[in-house]
Amino acid sequence: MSVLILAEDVDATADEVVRALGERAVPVHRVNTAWFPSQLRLDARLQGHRWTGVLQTPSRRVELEEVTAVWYRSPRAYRFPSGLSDAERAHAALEAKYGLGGVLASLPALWVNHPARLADAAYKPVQLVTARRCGLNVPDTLITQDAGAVRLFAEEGASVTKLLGSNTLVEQGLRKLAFTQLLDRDGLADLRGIEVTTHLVQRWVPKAYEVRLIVIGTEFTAAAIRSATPQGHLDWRADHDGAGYDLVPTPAAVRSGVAELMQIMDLRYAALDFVVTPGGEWVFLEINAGGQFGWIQERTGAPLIGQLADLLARGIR
Amino acid sequence: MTAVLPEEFAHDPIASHSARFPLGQVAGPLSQDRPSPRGVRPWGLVAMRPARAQGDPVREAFTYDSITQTSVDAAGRPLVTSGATANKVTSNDGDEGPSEDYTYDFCPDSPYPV
Repeated sequence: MSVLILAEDVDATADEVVRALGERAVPVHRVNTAWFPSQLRLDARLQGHRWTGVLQTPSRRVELEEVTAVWYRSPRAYRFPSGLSDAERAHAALEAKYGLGGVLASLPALWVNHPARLADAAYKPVQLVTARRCGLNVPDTLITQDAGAVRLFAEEGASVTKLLGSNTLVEQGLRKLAFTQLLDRDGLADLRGIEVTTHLVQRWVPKAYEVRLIVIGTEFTAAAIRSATPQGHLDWRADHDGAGYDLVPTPAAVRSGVAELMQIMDLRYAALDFVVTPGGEWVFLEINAGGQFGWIQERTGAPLIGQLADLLARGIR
Repeated sequence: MTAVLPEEFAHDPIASHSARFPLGQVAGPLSQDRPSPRGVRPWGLVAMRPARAQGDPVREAFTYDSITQTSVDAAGRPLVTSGATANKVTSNDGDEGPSEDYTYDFCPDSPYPV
Protein backbone atom coordinates (compact mmCIF):
# COMPACT_ATOMS: atom_id res chain seq x y z
CA MET A 1 0.00 0.00 0.00
CA SER A 2 1.01 3.60 -0.45
CA VAL A 3 -0.52 7.07 -0.30
CA LEU A 4 -0.11 9.41 -3.24
CA ILE A 5 -0.24 13.12 -2.45
CA LEU A 6 -0.70 15.43 -5.41
CA ALA A 7 0.33 18.86 -4.19
CA GLU A 8 2.37 21.87 -5.15
CA ASP A 9 5.96 22.19 -3.99
CA VAL A 10 5.52 24.64 -1.14
CA ASP A 11 2.57 23.72 1.04
CA ALA A 12 2.88 23.62 4.81
CA THR A 13 -0.25 21.53 5.29
CA ALA A 14 0.97 18.95 2.80
CA ASP A 15 4.29 18.89 4.66
CA GLU A 16 2.50 18.07 7.89
CA VAL A 17 0.43 15.32 6.32
CA VAL A 18 3.60 13.77 4.85
CA ARG A 19 5.11 13.84 8.31
CA ALA A 20 1.99 12.38 9.95
CA LEU A 21 1.90 9.52 7.46
CA GLY A 22 5.59 8.89 8.14
CA GLU A 23 4.86 8.70 11.85
CA ARG A 24 2.27 6.03 11.03
CA ALA A 25 4.83 4.13 8.95
CA VAL A 26 2.67 4.56 5.85
CA PRO A 27 4.58 4.76 2.55
CA VAL A 28 3.84 8.15 1.01
CA HIS A 29 4.72 9.63 -2.36
CA ARG A 30 4.31 13.35 -2.84
CA VAL A 31 4.15 14.42 -6.46
CA ASN A 32 3.54 17.74 -8.17
CA THR A 33 2.17 17.46 -11.69
CA ALA A 34 4.15 20.62 -12.50
CA TRP A 35 7.18 18.33 -12.64
CA PHE A 36 5.76 16.75 -15.80
CA PRO A 37 7.32 16.01 -18.25
CA SER A 38 10.93 16.79 -17.34
CA GLN A 39 10.94 15.48 -13.75
CA LEU A 40 7.89 13.25 -13.81
CA ARG A 41 7.39 10.35 -16.17
CA LEU A 42 4.53 7.95 -16.63
CA ASP A 43 4.74 4.42 -17.93
CA ALA A 44 1.34 2.78 -17.61
CA ARG A 45 -0.24 -0.23 -19.24
CA LEU A 46 -3.82 -1.43 -19.14
CA GLN A 47 -3.76 -4.88 -17.62
CA GLY A 48 -6.87 -6.69 -16.51
CA HIS A 49 -9.22 -4.18 -14.97
CA ARG A 50 -6.74 -1.47 -14.10
CA TRP A 51 -3.78 0.60 -15.12
CA THR A 52 -0.48 -0.75 -13.96
CA GLY A 53 2.98 0.71 -14.20
CA VAL A 54 4.97 3.47 -12.63
CA LEU A 55 5.12 7.14 -11.99
CA GLN A 56 8.77 8.05 -11.86
CA THR A 57 10.57 11.10 -10.47
CA PRO A 58 14.34 11.52 -10.19
CA SER A 59 14.20 10.29 -6.61
CA ARG A 60 11.01 8.25 -6.37
CA ARG A 61 9.21 5.40 -8.08
CA VAL A 62 5.47 5.11 -7.54
CA GLU A 63 4.00 1.72 -8.40
CA LEU A 64 0.47 2.47 -9.53
CA GLU A 65 -0.86 -0.89 -8.30
CA GLU A 66 0.26 -0.06 -4.76
CA VAL A 67 -1.59 3.23 -4.45
CA THR A 68 -4.48 2.78 -2.04
CA ALA A 69 -5.29 6.43 -1.34
CA VAL A 70 -4.80 9.73 -3.12
CA TRP A 71 -4.97 13.17 -1.55
CA TYR A 72 -5.73 15.57 -4.36
CA ARG A 73 -4.43 18.68 -2.68
CA SER A 74 -3.43 21.29 -5.24
CA PRO A 75 -1.17 19.98 -8.01
CA ARG A 76 0.04 22.52 -10.52
CA ALA A 77 -0.11 22.72 -14.29
CA TYR A 78 2.38 20.82 -16.42
CA ARG A 79 5.50 22.70 -17.52
CA PHE A 80 6.54 22.05 -21.09
CA PRO A 81 9.80 22.95 -22.82
CA SER A 82 10.06 26.62 -23.66
CA GLY A 83 10.73 25.88 -27.33
CA LEU A 84 7.16 24.75 -27.99
CA SER A 85 4.81 26.98 -29.94
CA ASP A 86 1.51 27.93 -28.31
CA ALA A 87 -0.34 25.39 -30.43
CA GLU A 88 2.17 22.67 -29.59
CA ARG A 89 2.01 23.55 -25.91
CA ALA A 90 -1.79 23.34 -25.92
CA HIS A 91 -1.58 20.00 -27.68
CA ALA A 92 0.96 18.65 -25.19
CA ALA A 93 -1.11 19.90 -22.24
CA LEU A 94 -4.27 18.25 -23.48
CA GLU A 95 -2.52 14.97 -24.22
CA ALA A 96 -0.96 15.03 -20.75
CA LYS A 97 -4.31 15.81 -19.14
CA TYR A 98 -5.99 12.89 -20.82
CA GLY A 99 -2.95 10.66 -20.47
CA LEU A 100 -1.39 11.31 -17.06
CA GLY A 101 -4.55 12.82 -15.61
CA GLY A 102 -6.68 10.05 -17.01
CA VAL A 103 -4.52 7.25 -15.68
CA LEU A 104 -4.32 8.80 -12.23
CA ALA A 105 -8.03 9.66 -12.10
CA SER A 106 -8.87 6.03 -12.84
CA LEU A 107 -6.82 4.58 -9.99
CA PRO A 108 -9.07 2.41 -7.79
CA ALA A 109 -8.02 4.18 -4.61
CA LEU A 110 -9.66 6.20 -1.86
CA TRP A 111 -9.73 9.72 -3.29
CA VAL A 112 -9.70 12.73 -0.99
CA ASN A 113 -11.28 14.05 -3.10
CA HIS A 114 -11.57 12.80 -6.64
CA PRO A 115 -10.80 15.72 -8.98
CA ALA A 116 -14.02 15.27 -10.91
CA ARG A 117 -15.95 15.62 -7.66
CA LEU A 118 -13.99 18.77 -6.88
CA ALA A 119 -15.13 20.16 -10.21
CA ASP A 120 -18.75 19.34 -9.46
CA ALA A 121 -18.53 20.84 -5.99
CA ALA A 122 -17.09 24.10 -7.28
CA TYR A 123 -20.51 25.21 -8.47
CA LYS A 124 -22.11 27.22 -5.68
CA PRO A 125 -25.64 26.96 -7.07
CA VAL A 126 -25.26 23.19 -7.02
CA GLN A 127 -24.02 23.36 -3.44
CA LEU A 128 -26.89 25.53 -2.26
CA VAL A 129 -29.71 23.55 -3.80
CA THR A 130 -28.19 20.23 -2.77
CA ALA A 131 -27.72 21.47 0.79
CA ARG A 132 -31.34 22.54 0.95
CA ARG A 133 -32.46 19.14 -0.34
CA CYS A 134 -30.41 17.61 2.46
CA GLY A 135 -32.44 19.51 5.01
CA LEU A 136 -29.90 22.22 5.80
CA ASN A 137 -30.99 25.80 6.31
CA VAL A 138 -29.85 27.82 3.29
CA PRO A 139 -30.39 31.58 2.87
CA ASP A 140 -32.68 32.81 0.13
CA THR A 141 -30.44 33.41 -2.85
CA LEU A 142 -30.75 35.19 -6.18
CA ILE A 143 -28.50 34.65 -9.20
CA THR A 144 -29.20 37.13 -11.93
CA GLN A 145 -28.03 39.68 -14.47
CA ASP A 146 -31.09 41.81 -13.87
CA ALA A 147 -30.79 45.03 -11.88
CA GLY A 148 -34.53 45.14 -11.20
CA ALA A 149 -34.46 41.66 -9.73
CA VAL A 150 -31.62 42.66 -7.41
CA ARG A 151 -33.46 45.73 -6.16
CA LEU A 152 -36.68 43.77 -5.63
CA PHE A 153 -34.78 41.11 -3.67
CA ALA A 154 -33.06 43.76 -1.57
CA GLU A 155 -36.37 45.42 -0.74
CA GLU A 156 -37.46 42.21 0.93
CA GLY A 157 -34.63 42.28 3.47
CA ALA A 158 -30.99 43.02 4.14
CA SER A 159 -28.85 41.42 1.46
CA VAL A 160 -25.25 40.69 0.65
CA THR A 161 -23.40 39.94 -2.53
CA LYS A 162 -20.50 37.60 -2.92
CA LEU A 163 -18.68 36.12 -5.86
CA LEU A 164 -19.66 32.75 -7.25
CA GLY A 165 -16.13 31.73 -8.06
CA SER A 166 -12.76 33.19 -7.26
CA ASN A 167 -12.65 36.19 -4.95
CA THR A 168 -9.33 37.25 -6.38
CA LEU A 169 -8.25 39.02 -9.54
CA VAL A 170 -4.91 40.14 -10.86
CA GLU A 171 -4.72 43.36 -12.82
CA GLN A 172 -2.46 46.40 -12.90
CA GLY A 173 0.26 44.15 -11.54
CA LEU A 174 -1.64 43.73 -8.29
CA ARG A 175 -3.49 40.89 -6.64
CA LYS A 176 -6.92 42.11 -5.66
CA LEU A 177 -9.49 40.60 -3.32
CA ALA A 178 -13.20 41.05 -2.75
CA PHE A 179 -15.07 39.81 0.27
CA THR A 180 -18.79 39.60 1.01
CA GLN A 181 -20.44 43.01 0.68
CA LEU A 182 -23.59 44.27 2.36
CA LEU A 183 -25.83 45.93 -0.20
CA ASP A 184 -26.62 49.45 0.84
CA ARG A 185 -28.62 52.22 -0.78
CA ASP A 186 -25.63 53.63 -2.64
CA GLY A 187 -24.67 50.26 -3.98
CA LEU A 188 -28.16 49.50 -5.17
CA ALA A 189 -28.41 52.87 -6.90
CA ASP A 190 -25.63 52.02 -9.31
CA LEU A 191 -25.81 48.49 -10.63
CA ARG A 192 -24.09 49.21 -13.93
CA GLY A 193 -22.28 46.15 -15.18
CA ILE A 194 -24.63 43.68 -13.56
CA GLU A 195 -25.82 42.58 -16.99
CA VAL A 196 -22.29 41.59 -18.01
CA THR A 197 -22.38 38.30 -16.15
CA THR A 198 -24.28 36.45 -13.45
CA HIS A 199 -24.18 37.80 -9.91
CA LEU A 200 -25.13 36.21 -6.61
CA VAL A 201 -27.18 38.13 -4.06
CA GLN A 202 -28.13 36.48 -0.81
CA ARG A 203 -30.23 37.32 2.21
CA TRP A 204 -28.11 38.56 5.10
CA VAL A 205 -28.32 36.15 8.02
CA PRO A 206 -28.18 37.68 11.52
CA LYS A 207 -25.00 36.34 13.03
CA ALA A 208 -23.84 35.42 16.50
CA TYR A 209 -20.73 33.82 15.08
CA GLU A 210 -19.60 31.73 12.12
CA VAL A 211 -18.47 28.14 11.96
CA ARG A 212 -15.99 26.35 9.77
CA LEU A 213 -16.98 22.71 9.92
CA ILE A 214 -14.23 20.33 8.85
CA VAL A 215 -15.39 16.90 7.77
CA ILE A 216 -12.71 14.25 7.32
CA GLY A 217 -14.22 10.85 6.60
CA THR A 218 -16.71 10.42 9.43
CA GLU A 219 -14.99 12.92 11.76
CA PHE A 220 -16.75 16.25 12.28
CA THR A 221 -14.86 19.20 13.79
CA ALA A 222 -16.69 22.50 14.16
CA ALA A 223 -14.71 25.64 14.92
CA ALA A 224 -16.60 28.76 15.93
CA ILE A 225 -15.07 31.88 14.41
CA ARG A 226 -15.86 34.98 16.44
CA SER A 227 -14.92 38.19 14.72
CA ALA A 228 -14.15 41.34 16.64
CA THR A 229 -14.38 43.89 13.84
CA PRO A 230 -17.28 45.04 11.62
CA GLN A 231 -15.44 43.84 8.52
CA GLY A 232 -14.79 40.46 10.09
CA HIS A 233 -18.40 40.22 11.25
CA LEU A 234 -19.50 40.57 7.63
CA ASP A 235 -16.90 38.13 6.29
CA TRP A 236 -14.42 36.48 8.65
CA ARG A 237 -11.95 35.95 5.80
CA ALA A 238 -11.36 39.69 5.85
CA ASP A 239 -10.04 39.70 9.40
CA HIS A 240 -8.18 36.57 10.35
CA ASP A 241 -6.02 38.32 12.89
CA GLY A 242 -8.97 39.72 14.81
CA ALA A 243 -10.95 36.50 15.04
CA GLY A 244 -11.18 34.15 18.00
CA TYR A 245 -11.61 30.41 17.58
CA ASP A 246 -13.09 27.69 19.77
CA LEU A 247 -14.51 24.25 19.18
CA VAL A 248 -18.28 23.81 19.35
CA PRO A 249 -20.51 20.75 19.03
CA THR A 250 -22.23 20.11 15.72
CA PRO A 251 -26.01 19.85 16.13
CA ALA A 252 -27.35 16.42 15.24
CA ALA A 253 -29.58 17.74 12.45
CA VAL A 254 -26.67 19.63 10.87
CA ARG A 255 -24.46 16.60 11.13
CA SER A 256 -27.08 14.45 9.47
CA GLY A 257 -27.65 16.94 6.65
CA VAL A 258 -23.95 17.43 6.03
CA ALA A 259 -23.34 13.69 5.98
CA GLU A 260 -26.02 13.33 3.32
CA LEU A 261 -24.57 16.27 1.38
CA MET A 262 -21.11 14.70 1.47
CA GLN A 263 -22.55 11.41 0.28
CA ILE A 264 -24.46 12.96 -2.60
CA MET A 265 -21.43 15.00 -3.68
CA ASP A 266 -19.21 11.96 -3.17
CA LEU A 267 -16.74 13.83 -0.96
CA ARG A 268 -14.47 12.43 1.76
CA TYR A 269 -13.23 15.81 2.88
CA ALA A 270 -14.83 19.24 3.01
CA ALA A 271 -14.64 22.54 4.86
CA LEU A 272 -18.13 23.95 5.24
CA ASP A 273 -19.05 27.45 6.28
CA PHE A 274 -22.08 28.22 8.43
CA VAL A 275 -23.56 31.24 10.10
CA VAL A 276 -24.94 30.60 13.57
CA THR A 277 -27.76 33.01 14.36
CA PRO A 278 -28.31 34.60 17.78
CA GLY A 279 -31.05 32.00 18.20
CA GLY A 280 -28.59 29.18 17.63
CA GLU A 281 -29.74 28.15 14.17
CA TRP A 282 -27.02 26.95 11.81
CA VAL A 283 -27.34 28.36 8.29
CA PHE A 284 -25.32 26.84 5.47
CA LEU A 285 -23.23 29.17 3.31
CA GLU A 286 -21.00 26.92 1.28
CA ILE A 287 -19.02 23.73 1.06
CA ASN A 288 -15.35 23.95 0.09
CA ALA A 289 -14.30 20.55 -1.17
CA GLY A 290 -10.66 21.55 -1.00
CA GLY A 291 -10.88 24.22 1.67
CA GLN A 292 -8.09 25.01 4.08
CA PHE A 293 -8.01 23.53 7.57
CA GLY A 294 -4.43 23.84 8.83
CA TRP A 295 -5.04 27.06 10.68
CA ILE A 296 -8.07 25.61 12.42
CA GLN A 297 -5.83 22.96 13.95
CA GLU A 298 -3.33 25.61 15.01
CA ARG A 299 -5.97 27.83 16.58
CA THR A 300 -8.02 25.12 18.29
CA GLY A 301 -5.74 22.13 18.74
CA ALA A 302 -8.17 19.85 16.90
CA PRO A 303 -6.19 16.88 15.50
CA LEU A 304 -7.16 17.43 11.86
CA ILE A 305 -3.82 16.47 10.33
CA GLY A 306 -3.95 13.21 12.21
CA GLN A 307 -7.53 12.57 11.13
CA LEU A 308 -6.60 13.07 7.49
CA ALA A 309 -3.51 10.89 7.82
CA ASP A 310 -5.62 8.14 9.40
CA LEU A 311 -8.19 8.36 6.61
CA LEU A 312 -5.51 8.17 3.92
CA ALA A 313 -3.75 5.34 5.74
CA ARG A 314 -6.92 3.28 5.76
CA GLY A 315 -7.40 3.88 2.04
CA ILE A 316 -8.82 1.06 -0.01
CA ARG A 317 -7.19 -2.24 0.83
CA MET B 1 0.75 42.52 -21.03
CA THR B 2 -2.43 40.71 -21.87
CA ALA B 3 -4.09 38.70 -19.14
CA VAL B 4 -4.07 34.96 -19.49
CA LEU B 5 -7.78 34.33 -19.77
CA PRO B 6 -9.22 31.08 -18.49
CA GLU B 7 -10.46 30.12 -21.94
CA GLU B 8 -10.75 26.41 -21.36
CA PHE B 9 -13.04 26.92 -18.40
CA ALA B 10 -14.81 30.17 -19.18
CA HIS B 11 -15.75 29.15 -22.71
CA ASP B 12 -17.31 25.95 -21.51
CA PRO B 13 -20.52 26.69 -19.61
CA ILE B 14 -20.38 23.60 -17.40
CA ALA B 15 -17.44 21.53 -16.24
CA SER B 16 -14.99 21.12 -19.09
CA HIS B 17 -12.58 18.33 -19.78
CA SER B 18 -10.02 20.53 -18.06
CA ALA B 19 -12.05 20.61 -14.89
CA ARG B 20 -11.96 16.85 -14.64
CA PHE B 21 -8.31 16.96 -13.70
CA PRO B 22 -7.86 20.54 -12.57
CA LEU B 23 -4.36 21.88 -12.15
CA GLY B 24 -3.41 25.20 -10.63
CA GLN B 25 -1.46 27.49 -12.88
CA VAL B 26 2.21 27.85 -12.22
CA ALA B 27 2.95 31.39 -11.08
CA GLY B 28 3.89 33.69 -13.92
CA PRO B 29 4.03 37.38 -14.79
CA LEU B 30 1.25 39.44 -13.24
CA SER B 31 -1.36 40.84 -15.57
CA GLN B 32 -0.98 44.55 -16.19
CA ASP B 33 -4.50 44.91 -17.60
CA ARG B 34 -6.40 47.96 -16.41
CA PRO B 35 -9.98 47.83 -15.12
CA SER B 36 -12.65 48.56 -17.71
CA PRO B 37 -14.91 51.59 -17.28
CA ARG B 38 -17.90 51.34 -14.97
CA GLY B 39 -20.70 49.70 -16.88
CA VAL B 40 -18.36 47.55 -18.89
CA ARG B 41 -16.68 46.01 -15.88
CA PRO B 42 -18.81 43.35 -14.15
CA TRP B 43 -20.64 44.88 -11.19
CA GLY B 44 -19.38 42.12 -8.91
CA LEU B 45 -15.87 43.48 -9.20
CA VAL B 46 -16.78 46.84 -7.68
CA ALA B 47 -15.51 45.72 -4.29
CA MET B 48 -12.14 44.48 -5.56
CA ARG B 49 -9.31 46.04 -3.60
CA PRO B 50 -5.57 45.38 -3.68
CA ALA B 51 -4.58 42.78 -1.12
CA ARG B 52 -2.59 44.18 1.79
CA ALA B 53 0.35 41.97 0.91
CA GLN B 54 1.59 41.44 -2.61
CA GLY B 55 4.04 38.86 -3.81
CA ASP B 56 4.56 35.44 -2.38
CA PRO B 57 7.36 35.54 0.17
CA VAL B 58 6.88 32.01 1.45
CA ARG B 59 6.98 30.36 -1.93
CA GLU B 60 10.01 32.47 -2.77
CA ALA B 61 11.86 31.55 0.40
CA PHE B 62 11.17 27.81 0.46
CA THR B 63 11.83 25.01 -1.97
CA TYR B 64 10.79 21.41 -2.19
CA ASP B 65 13.16 18.82 -0.76
CA SER B 66 12.71 15.50 -2.55
CA ILE B 67 14.24 13.48 0.30
CA THR B 68 11.89 14.59 3.06
CA GLN B 69 9.09 15.41 0.59
CA THR B 70 8.58 18.69 2.42
CA SER B 71 9.60 22.33 1.97
CA VAL B 72 12.76 23.81 3.43
CA ASP B 73 14.49 27.17 3.31
CA ALA B 74 18.02 27.84 2.10
CA ALA B 75 19.40 26.78 5.48
CA GLY B 76 17.46 23.53 5.41
CA ARG B 77 14.89 24.61 7.98
CA PRO B 78 11.46 23.02 7.42
CA LEU B 79 8.57 25.22 6.46
CA VAL B 80 6.41 23.61 9.14
CA THR B 81 8.68 24.96 11.87
CA SER B 82 8.82 28.47 10.45
CA GLY B 83 5.47 29.60 11.78
CA ALA B 84 4.38 30.54 8.29
CA THR B 85 0.77 29.79 7.52
CA ALA B 86 1.29 29.24 3.81
CA ASN B 87 -1.45 27.03 2.44
CA LYS B 88 -3.19 26.74 5.76
CA VAL B 89 -5.42 29.79 5.80
CA THR B 90 -8.34 30.82 3.69
CA SER B 91 -7.98 34.25 2.09
CA ASN B 92 -5.87 35.63 4.87
CA ASP B 93 -4.94 38.70 2.88
CA GLY B 94 -1.90 38.89 5.07
CA ASP B 95 1.71 38.02 4.69
CA GLU B 96 1.46 34.73 2.89
CA GLY B 97 0.72 35.75 -0.65
CA PRO B 98 -2.05 34.13 -2.61
CA SER B 99 -3.77 31.57 -0.45
CA GLU B 100 -7.37 31.87 -1.51
CA ASP B 101 -9.59 28.88 -1.25
CA TYR B 102 -10.22 28.69 -4.94
CA THR B 103 -6.74 27.40 -5.48
CA TYR B 104 -7.83 24.28 -3.71
CA ASP B 105 -11.54 24.14 -4.28
CA PHE B 106 -11.14 24.28 -7.97
CA CYS B 107 -8.03 24.94 -9.96
CA PRO B 108 -8.55 24.99 -13.72
CA ASP B 109 -5.45 24.98 -15.85
CA SER B 110 -5.68 28.62 -16.77
CA PRO B 111 -7.06 30.68 -13.92
CA TYR B 112 -6.09 34.27 -13.48
CA PRO B 113 -2.35 34.51 -13.08
CA VAL B 114 -1.42 34.75 -9.42
